[in-house]
Amino acid sequence: MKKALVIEDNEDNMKLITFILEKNGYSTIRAENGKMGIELATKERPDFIILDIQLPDMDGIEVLREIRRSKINVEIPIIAMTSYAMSGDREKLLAAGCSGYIEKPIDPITVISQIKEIIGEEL
Amino acid sequence: MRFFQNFSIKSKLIGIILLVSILAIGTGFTLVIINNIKTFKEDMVNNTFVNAGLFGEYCITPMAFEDKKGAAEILQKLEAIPSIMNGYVYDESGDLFAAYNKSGNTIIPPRLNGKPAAEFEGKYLHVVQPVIYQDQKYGTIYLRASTAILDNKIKNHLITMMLLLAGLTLISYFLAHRFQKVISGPILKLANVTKEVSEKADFSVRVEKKGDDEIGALYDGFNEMMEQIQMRKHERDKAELALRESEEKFRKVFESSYDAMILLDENEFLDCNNATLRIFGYATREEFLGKHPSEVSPPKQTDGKDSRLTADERIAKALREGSCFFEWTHRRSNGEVFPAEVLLTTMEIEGRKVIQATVRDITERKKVEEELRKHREHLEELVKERTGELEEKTIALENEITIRTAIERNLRTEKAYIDQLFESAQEAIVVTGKDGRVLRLNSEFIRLFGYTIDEAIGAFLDDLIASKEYYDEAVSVTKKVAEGEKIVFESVRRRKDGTLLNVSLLASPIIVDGKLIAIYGIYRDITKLKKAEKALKERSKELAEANIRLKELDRLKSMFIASMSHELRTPLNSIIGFTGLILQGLAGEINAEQKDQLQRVYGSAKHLLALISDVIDISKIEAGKVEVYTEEFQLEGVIEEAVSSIKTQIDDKRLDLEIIIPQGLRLKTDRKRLLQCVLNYLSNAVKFTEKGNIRIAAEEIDGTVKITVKDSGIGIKKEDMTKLFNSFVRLDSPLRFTTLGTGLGLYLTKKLATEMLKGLVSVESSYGKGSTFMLEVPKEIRDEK
Repeated sequence: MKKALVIEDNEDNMKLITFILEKNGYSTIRAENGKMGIELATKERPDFIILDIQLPDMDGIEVLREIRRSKINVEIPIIAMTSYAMSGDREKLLAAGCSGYIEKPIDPITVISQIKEIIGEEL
Repeated sequence: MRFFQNFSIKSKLIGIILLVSILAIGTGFTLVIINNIKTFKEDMVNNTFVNAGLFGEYCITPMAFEDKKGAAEILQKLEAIPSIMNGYVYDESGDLFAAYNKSGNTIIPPRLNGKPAAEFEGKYLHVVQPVIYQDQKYGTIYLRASTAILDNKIKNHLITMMLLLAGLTLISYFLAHRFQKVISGPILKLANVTKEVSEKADFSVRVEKKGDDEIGALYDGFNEMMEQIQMRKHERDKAELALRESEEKFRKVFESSYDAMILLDENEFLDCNNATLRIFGYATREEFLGKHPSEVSPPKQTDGKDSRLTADERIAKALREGSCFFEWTHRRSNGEVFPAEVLLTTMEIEGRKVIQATVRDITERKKVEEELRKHREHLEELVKERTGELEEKTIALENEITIRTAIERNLRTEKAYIDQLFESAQEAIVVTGKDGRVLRLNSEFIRLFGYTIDEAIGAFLDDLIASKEYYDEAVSVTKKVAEGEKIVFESVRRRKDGTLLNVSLLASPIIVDGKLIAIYGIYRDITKLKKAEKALKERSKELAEANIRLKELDRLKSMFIASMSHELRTPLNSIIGFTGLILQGLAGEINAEQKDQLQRVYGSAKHLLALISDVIDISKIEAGKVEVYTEEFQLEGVIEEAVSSIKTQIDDKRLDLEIIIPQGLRLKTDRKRLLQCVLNYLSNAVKFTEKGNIRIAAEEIDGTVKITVKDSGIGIKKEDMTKLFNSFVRLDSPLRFTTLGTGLGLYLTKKLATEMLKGLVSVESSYGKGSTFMLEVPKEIRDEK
């Protein structure tokens, strides 16, 4: 069973994502802010990370960079969640090391396939 | 009978009456007479019989007693009877018994047969009567009476009657005479009146009707007749009068006419007036009348035609057409030929067609005409000559005038320009002499500096408008210009009322033919300008400050939009997310009703999300907060993405989708926005097409990529086309309530296409048949980052 780290500050969103992931056979680790996220990413070594860009304490991009900087997590797929992606943001995210992004609000029906696509799993 | 017919009525009437009377009376009288005579006779007879009887009876006794004497005595008594001449009595044997004879009348007594008888014979009456007494015949008595008395009686009677007759006849005559007047009177009267009428020819006479009998009728008739006659006479008199008058007139005209007036028929002249004789040179009418027109004409007319034939022709024409007018050549009695005007007019006189000819000797006129003609010819020649000369002169003059006029006009125009310019210039212009005295100025100068023309003209300009401080400067300027320099600068001058004003001044010399004759100065009031400059500076400062504030606001706006974007979406995340999960059954089984209701929630949430997205988008665009992010990409990818997102709807509606995209078409522009536009078009197409097909095509033309989305949907009405791309417009259509839409789609697309993709949107549609939406964007847009 693959492990997913979800870094999301909104409780509802957290519930939503984790519910979907668990229903689809993934286990989840939750982090409710950037700092926690970075910590847990290093500590827990998830199979992939889902990262909300709008975090209260740190800029999502910063978190992204931080995680990438730590050597251990260079390969991990990090999926960014953005509530509206400005075309420019995309570049920034990609440049910062995110593997893909899903738009908020999440479409519960298609989100799993979106995620699978990014992490390279078969649908 | 005819003899009698000639008697007068009076006589006739009297005669008739008399005749009748006489006849009547005569007949009557005759009858009476006859009757009377008969009666007389009878009487006599009777008397005689009676006497016979009587005396017979008397004689009976004697007879019985054979008393002859006694009988004779008795018979002697017969003497008393005047008429009886003889009386004889006979006995039964017929013998004379007794006799009586009047003296002197003795006769032989006749033999009798005894039968009673009475017989007249000659002048005597013989009466025989038997004497019978008691049926016994004693004898016979015979009496002879003389009819003398009878005759006398008769004679008397006759005379009387005759006298009576005469008398009656006379009376008759008188009466007849008198009363025939009843008949004859009126008739005679009428006769007299008639005679009178015919003698005196007085038709006004009328007779008075006395009675309604035939005479009355006759009278009426007579009166009527008279009436008629009078009327006719009256009319005839009138006619006669008119005729006479007309005749007189004609005669007058005829005679007094200056022209020859001739009456003629086809053969000869019938009558003519005095003028004719004068003109033709004849002494008496008789010489002229009876001739044919050709006889008073030369043998041939001026045109060579034969006079007689031509004359006859003319006459015939007049007879045919009623009139004929022509010129003719006549000949006077002395052989002189003369021209004439002839008018023939056909008239009918007493049923006969005659021609009245008026002949006017036009010799004089012809002469005059000829002279006029010659004169005119002469004049014309003269005129021609003169005209020729005149024309030449005129042309020359005209040319000169034209030139002069042109020159003058130019001059005037020039002057007008200059004057107008001078006057209407918005700057104050003043012309001064070399010495600085004002020669001329315009209205603006007056207005600007406040001086009147009279005050200014002749005064030194510098005294007028230079203030103390600037006086020297002004004077030096004047000097410089007087030396030929042109000066432009800004300075301060003074109005009449002492107020100062900033002016821009241009002073220049006016040099004509190398000589400086005047100086002109143009003053522009730049006070306002100066003020404006100052104001401008202040404004700039203000603007700079405002700008800073705006920038701040802008920044705040961005933050607002960004946070709105985030804040609005977040709750939706939960709504969509969790309802989606439940609908998928991931939170447990749900019954149909729950599913249905949740689907509604899910749908609404999706719709809300779309709305928010659109609104945020528009806000950003309107706020200019959207950056264009250019990237290179293949068009196919964008189209595929768009198509896949509406695939399910297309399949659900069983619509055909056609995609015509050139392969490998690369663009360099904002991919996301382009996708947004295409998606908008496609989703509209799907929404508004119930059956048929949708076609999306793209082509590249001259650096522009044109993408068209064509559908066979409900189309758009002409009147709606203009508001199509406006915000919040959802067109009224049958599908309005069955499709979801924000009303912002096309608006946003337009904004994106025009402002971000630097392109165009357009649409063509046919209501009920379908629509074609087009999007044209530059293939490459310059990076404006």
